[in-house]
Amino acid sequence: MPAPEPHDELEDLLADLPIREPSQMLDERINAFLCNPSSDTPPPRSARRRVLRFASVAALLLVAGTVAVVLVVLNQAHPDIGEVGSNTDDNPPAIVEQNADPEPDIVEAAYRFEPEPLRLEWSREISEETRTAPNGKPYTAVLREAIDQRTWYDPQTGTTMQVSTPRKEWVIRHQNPF
Amino acid sequence: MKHWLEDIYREHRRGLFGLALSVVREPATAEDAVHEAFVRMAKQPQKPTGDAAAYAYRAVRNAAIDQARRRKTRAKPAEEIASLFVAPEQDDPSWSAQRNETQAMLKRAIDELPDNERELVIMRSFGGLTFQQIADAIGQPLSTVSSRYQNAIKSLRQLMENSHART
Repeated sequence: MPAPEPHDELEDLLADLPIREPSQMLDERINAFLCNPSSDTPPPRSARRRVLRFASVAALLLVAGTVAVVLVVLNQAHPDIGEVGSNTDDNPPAIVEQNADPEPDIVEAAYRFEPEPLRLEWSREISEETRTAPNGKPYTAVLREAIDQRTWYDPQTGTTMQVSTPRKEWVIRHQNPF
Repeated sequence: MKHWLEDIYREHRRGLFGLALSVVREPATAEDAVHEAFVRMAKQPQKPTGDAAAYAYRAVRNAAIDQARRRKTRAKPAEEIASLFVAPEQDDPSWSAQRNETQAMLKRAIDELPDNERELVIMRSFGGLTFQQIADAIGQPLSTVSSRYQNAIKSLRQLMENSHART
């Protein structure tokens, strides 16, 4: 006969502790399984949570894959054209259209670009003096001042330009021999 | 075959659930462990030759350990107290404030026990198992179970005295 197990008053307190009871759902699960042990037992809630977690991850991966495919398709619809002038193709594209007249008519310009000849607008003799040439013959030198004017048409502005330029010079007057 | 399982569950549902709850620290997972244990036991070709209650507690303990390994989580002490016990009936006039305080200290003390001592207290106090049944359930000698349980009681008393001294 086994010896009686010692009893502690603390054990009475332990026995009075309100320990949590299992839920009614567990009772139903156990009873349902024991009534029909051969039936497919529903997976435990922890396993169902795992299935739900995997399903969520799979759904996220599916969405991410779909987005990636859409981006690839959109990128292919608008390929990179590249820099203008960067074509290194040695075979230029065929000529679609060509002018039949290799020497088209030359059309005269409607306006003249060349400036008008320099024009003496004004002049006067200031003084004169007699000088001796290297051959010993005398000649008359005249100091004259004048204003030259040049006129031309500027096609960029559409206006007629005019410039006046003053000058002063000694002019040799031929001397009649005596 | 199923009759002895029904009897076991009807008689020890609180103790079995409490043992699983002390291991996994989460009520839903503890119920899964109990359910899984009964599924395993039902798959056995015949009833065990030894003590049926000890066999059931061993099955639930192993299933709970497997669940805990899968989850690899451990609740904090405050959650352990809330998950293992429920609040006492405050409206019951037989529950004095001192008794409530004593039970609160005892709950905290149980939570602070080592795992191997806490499971003995649960199987003994809430499952009503004898030391021999507990020894069969955990696969330890009877002397080891007895001494470990006595140590658990001493630890609980000491923890309660320390807790009372702090208040």
